[in-house]
Amino acid sequence: MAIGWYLVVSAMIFCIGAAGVLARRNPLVILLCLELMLNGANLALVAFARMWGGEDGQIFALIVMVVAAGWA
Amino acid sequence: MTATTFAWLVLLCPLVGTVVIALGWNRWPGRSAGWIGTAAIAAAFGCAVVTLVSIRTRAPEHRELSSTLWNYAVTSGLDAKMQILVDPLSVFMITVVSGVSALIHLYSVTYMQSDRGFHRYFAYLNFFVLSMLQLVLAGNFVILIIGWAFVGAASYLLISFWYRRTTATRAGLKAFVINVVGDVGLVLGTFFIFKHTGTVDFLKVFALTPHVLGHDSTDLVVACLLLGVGAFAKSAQVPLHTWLPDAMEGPTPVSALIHAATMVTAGVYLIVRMHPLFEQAPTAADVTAIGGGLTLTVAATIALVVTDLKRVIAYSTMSQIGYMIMGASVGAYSAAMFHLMAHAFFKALLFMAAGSLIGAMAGVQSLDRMGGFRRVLPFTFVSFMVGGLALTGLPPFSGWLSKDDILAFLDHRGGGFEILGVLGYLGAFLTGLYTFRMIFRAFWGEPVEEARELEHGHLAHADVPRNPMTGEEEDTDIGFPGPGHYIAEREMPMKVAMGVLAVLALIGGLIQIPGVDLGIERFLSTTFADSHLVRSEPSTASSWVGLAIGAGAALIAITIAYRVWVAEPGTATRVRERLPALYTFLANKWYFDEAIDFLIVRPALTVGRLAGSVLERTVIEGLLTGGAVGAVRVGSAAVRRWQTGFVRYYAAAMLICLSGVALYFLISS
Repeated sequence: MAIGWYLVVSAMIFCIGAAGVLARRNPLVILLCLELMLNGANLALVAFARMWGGEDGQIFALIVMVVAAGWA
Repeated sequence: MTATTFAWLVLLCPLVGTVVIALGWNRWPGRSAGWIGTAAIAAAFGCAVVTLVSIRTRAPEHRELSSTLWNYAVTSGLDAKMQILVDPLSVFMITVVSGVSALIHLYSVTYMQSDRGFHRYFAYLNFFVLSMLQLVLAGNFVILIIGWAFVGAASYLLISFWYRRTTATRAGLKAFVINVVGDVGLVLGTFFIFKHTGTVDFLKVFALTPHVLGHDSTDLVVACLLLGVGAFAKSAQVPLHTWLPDAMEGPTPVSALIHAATMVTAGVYLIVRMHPLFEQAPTAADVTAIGGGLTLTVAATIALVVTDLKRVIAYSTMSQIGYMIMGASVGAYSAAMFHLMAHAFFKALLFMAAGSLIGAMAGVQSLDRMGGFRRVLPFTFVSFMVGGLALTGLPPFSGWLSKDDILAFLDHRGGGFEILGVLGYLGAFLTGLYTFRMIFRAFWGEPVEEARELEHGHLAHADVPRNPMTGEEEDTDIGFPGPGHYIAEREMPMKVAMGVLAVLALIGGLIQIPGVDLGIERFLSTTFADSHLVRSEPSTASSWVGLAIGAGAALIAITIAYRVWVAEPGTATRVRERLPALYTFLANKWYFDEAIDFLIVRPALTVGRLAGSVLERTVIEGLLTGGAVGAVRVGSAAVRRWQTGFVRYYAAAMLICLSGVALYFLISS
């Protein structure tokens, strides 16, 4: 499966999150949307890691999750 | 102890004197500060004599010694050291300078004793001598420039010594400003030399110059001309001379010091010291020679009409320095130094005698008010006569042998320099005329009231002291001259100082007589061994012809002066009435002050005002300052609008910017 589709999904998730951060007023929802943006980025990281066959991207994604869990 | 050690001591003595007098300024009782100052300079003179003797014991080719105490800076080729050069030339100079200065200090002890600034006076005086000795002993350009600037500063302090006199403070400023012009010339000239030779050490520069700078090359000529500007400003040569007559505002012994020993001779010394450079740049040497020739004539003509006693002597100094500059520029080095020495003796003597005369007149300096002092001031009269005859150049006085030594060299050199020689003889004639105009008017004729009073033993005393130039009323507090007036007839220190100088002015010339013994020339020959001009010395016979012409000119001048001012009084007035234009021209000193004012001061003022109104207001304040303020204001107003306080706006801005960055990298990759 081509990497393009993963990136499209990742970009969509990121944009939905960004739109939520900018548009919503409820702080809780803003935090949720931020989480969405992070997950979009995570998806891209993992996709790229798989494409290259390395583990750096996955480790990066894990760290992002840890940070996200930390402030959520 | 070697010669250089004593040379360092020559510098140390006046330094210690300055510091000791200055630190204890209000604790030294009575005249002790004056005696300390005199002792310091006398000690310097003793050390100078020891240096002279010890350098004479060495073989002629080993008489050039350089000594360094410490380094100021050694960086990028510059080797600025605290360094002195002890050679026959500098030793000769320090002996003359410290010897004459010591006598002037001795004279000042009495002359200034009633002045409230007595301590300050001697601290300055010692500092002045220190500066001059440093200038003379300097072994490289850096030390020379420091001494040069010190001399300018010390002259400023002493000329405006009576600081509540507005004429004195103005004269001090004038001297300082013109001297700074010379300082700039000296520094720029040094730069040109340093640029090519890469060193400031005199001996290295002299050795390198012929190799790195071609004969009469542009840079060398420019460097020598700039050094010449420095010499002309310090030595009061046309057109940078206007400060010297005004410098008469200082106390009379200061005038003696400036004229005889410590200041105006510096320019002559500079040119003689730099003779290896000037010989390589004949164009520059010709310019300075012509400048000297012009000065000696201009100054002599002005001296014919000036009525202020001290100013007549001041113009005579300018004229005599003109001879020296001329001699130093054409290669008559030892003759120039000989005349420098003789001039130091008789000019210091003339000023001291003038001081005594002014004391008898209770501070009045105008020749119009003087007369008939011959009988009541016998000692002053004899001293003045000796000084005057030496200045005129009558045999066997020192000035006769020394001045005509220079002129004989000029005539012998040929190549157009005879014109300068003729100018010199004309100057000698004028010298006799103005000197004896001064003497006849002050000492002959009907005794004035002050002279008659003195006959009864009363020294004149001014009820209200007045400024001799403007006639303004003054008090005798600090910042003005003290209440006391002193004449040499009654004061031992003044008498001793004048007596010694009178003897020296009389017989000082005997150490160099053509055909008998050339003492100075022999002694200085080590310094001038590298010179190719010195070898063309005039023969003994032609020297004597020159001496005879000089003596003849002086005799004729004295005879004419006697007829005009003694035998047929009123002749001078008739001549003046017949030639009013010439008289006005001379009385206004050839309009040099006005010309400088018109050509330099006024344009500078106009440019300054223009810069103030246009450059400062419009460009600096309006454009630069105003522009910067405006840019910040507009910029901050624009940025302020983004500071909304809403997080979402910040997030949006961040997103947009980051997207932009990402886009940029996408496109560029």
